[in-house]
Amino acid sequence: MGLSIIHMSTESLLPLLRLFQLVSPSLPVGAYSYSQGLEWAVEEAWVTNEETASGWIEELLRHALVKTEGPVLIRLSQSWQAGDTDALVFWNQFILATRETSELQNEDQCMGRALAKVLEGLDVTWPYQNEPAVMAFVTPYSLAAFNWGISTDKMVTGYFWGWLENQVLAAMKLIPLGQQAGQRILFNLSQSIPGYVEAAFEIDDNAIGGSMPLWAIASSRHEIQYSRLFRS
Amino acid sequence: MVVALEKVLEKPAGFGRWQGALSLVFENRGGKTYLTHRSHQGPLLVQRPFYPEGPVCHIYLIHPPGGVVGGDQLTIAIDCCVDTDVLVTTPAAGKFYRSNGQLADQHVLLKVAEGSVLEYLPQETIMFDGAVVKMNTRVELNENSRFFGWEMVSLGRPACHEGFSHGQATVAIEVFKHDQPLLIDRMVLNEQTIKASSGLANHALVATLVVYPATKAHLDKVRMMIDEHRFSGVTLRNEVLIVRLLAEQAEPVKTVFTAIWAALRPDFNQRQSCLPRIWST
Repeated sequence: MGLSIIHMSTESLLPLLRLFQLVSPSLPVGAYSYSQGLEWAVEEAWVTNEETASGWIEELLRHALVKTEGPVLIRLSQSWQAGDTDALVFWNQFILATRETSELQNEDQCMGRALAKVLEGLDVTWPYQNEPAVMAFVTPYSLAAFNWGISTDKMVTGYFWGWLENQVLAAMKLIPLGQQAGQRILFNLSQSIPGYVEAAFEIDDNAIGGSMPLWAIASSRHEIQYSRLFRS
Repeated sequence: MVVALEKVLEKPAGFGRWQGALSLVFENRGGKTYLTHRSHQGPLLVQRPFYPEGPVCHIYLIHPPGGVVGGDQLTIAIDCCVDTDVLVTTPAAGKFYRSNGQLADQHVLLKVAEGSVLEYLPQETIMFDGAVVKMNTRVELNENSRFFGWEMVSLGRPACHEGFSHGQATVAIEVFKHDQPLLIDRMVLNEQTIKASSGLANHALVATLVVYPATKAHLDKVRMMIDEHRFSGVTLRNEVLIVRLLAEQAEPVKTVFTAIWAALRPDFNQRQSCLPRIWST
C-alpha cells in the first residue's frame, strides 16, 4: 500500500523534473549570450538600476511575452496533442515573423536549432515528415514538453520563468546589479507569472503579438552597437 | 474649433454606424495602370486617379468625413493585378474619435500580384483620447511584387494638450507572401504601453515604415539617414526592412519617411520620388 503511494507520486513528479531541466540555465542553448536589447537600453541609460531594470523586464513580460510566446506556446501544445502538422509549421513560422529585428529573429533560430540538437541526444525528434528547416525556440521547447508529459500551463509558466531569469542575469552583468538585487527582481516579478499564464490562454488568434516599439528600436540599434557583451 | 467640428459631425444616436467598404482593382493595360473596378459602400471614397509620372496610378483615398467612431467598421481592399504600379495616399489625417464603448474597426487588405509595385503612403492616423480602435493592415505579396508602406499613429492631440490616457488602439501590420507570414507587427497602444520605457516612453507618435524586398544596401542607407534620431531604429529580416520611429508629432516623421522614400525609390522602383500633389496643399 505505502509502496504504491510512493510509486504514484514519483510518476507525477517526473514531468516537473523534466521541466526543471528544460528551463535550467545549464541547458546548452546559449541563452546567456542574449540580452534582447537590454544592453542597448543600459547603454542609453534607459535602464540604470534595480528599479528601472525591474520595470523594463516586467513591461516586456506583461505586454510582449504574454501576447506572443504565451498564446503561440499554447497553440503549439494543442497542435502536438492533435497531431496537426500544418498548424505546427504555421505557428513556427508565425512566431519567427513576429520577431521585431534581425538579431531577435537570429537569436530565436539559433536557440531553436541548439535545443533541437539537445533533444536529439535525448531521443526526442520531430515525429513527422514536414520538419521545418528553421525552428523558433518555442517549437522544440513545446515538443519536449509534449513528450515529457508537461502540462500546457506548466510549460508556459516555465518558459516565462526561464526568460525572466535570463533577463535578470543579463541586467546583473550589464548595469551591474548585485546578487541580492537580482534575487529581489526574480522574487517580485515571478509573483505575476501565474496571472500572465492565465491571460495568455484568453488571447484570440487574431490578437496574438505584442510589439513594444522601444524594445524593437533598442534591438535594432544594438545590431550596430560598437562595443558589446551580448549577441542581442 | 476642433471641438466644434467634432460636435457637428457626431452622428445622432440610433442613426446607425458606418459599415464602410471600398474595393479597388488596378490592372495593367498597354503598359499603364488603370483603376478598372471600384465599388464602395458607406463613406469611403476615392478621387479620380492622377498620372503625374506616366504609367503609375496615383490614387487618393478619402476617409469618412470627420472621422470614425466606435461601432464603425471600415474595410478597404486594394487589389493590384499583375504588372501594375500603384501609389495610394490620403489627403488628410485619419481620425478615430472617443469611443461610446464600442470598437472602431478598420481593416485594410493590400494585394500585390506578380510584378506589381504598391506604394501605400497614408497620412497619419489620429487617435483621440478614449478611442477604442483596431486597425489592421495586411499586405499579401506574390512573386516579384514590391511594397513600400508606412503607418503613423498619433496618440491624443499634443497640440491641444490631450494625451491618450483612456482607450486602446491595436495597430497591426502583417506581411504575407504566398500565405507565409513574413512580418507580424501588432502594437497594443494604451496608457500602460505608452508610459512603458520599452514601449513609447511617453512619446505621442509611433511610426513604422516597411519595405519589401529590401537589401543590405537599403539597410545601410537608411541607417545613416536616421542615425541622429535617438528614438529610431531600422532592421532587415526576411527581406523586410522595418523602420521604427517615435516622436512628439507627425510632421518631422513625415519628413524623415518621405526622405527615406525618395532615397530608396530609384533603386526599389526605378523612379525618382514624385511627391503626391495633395501633400503640399
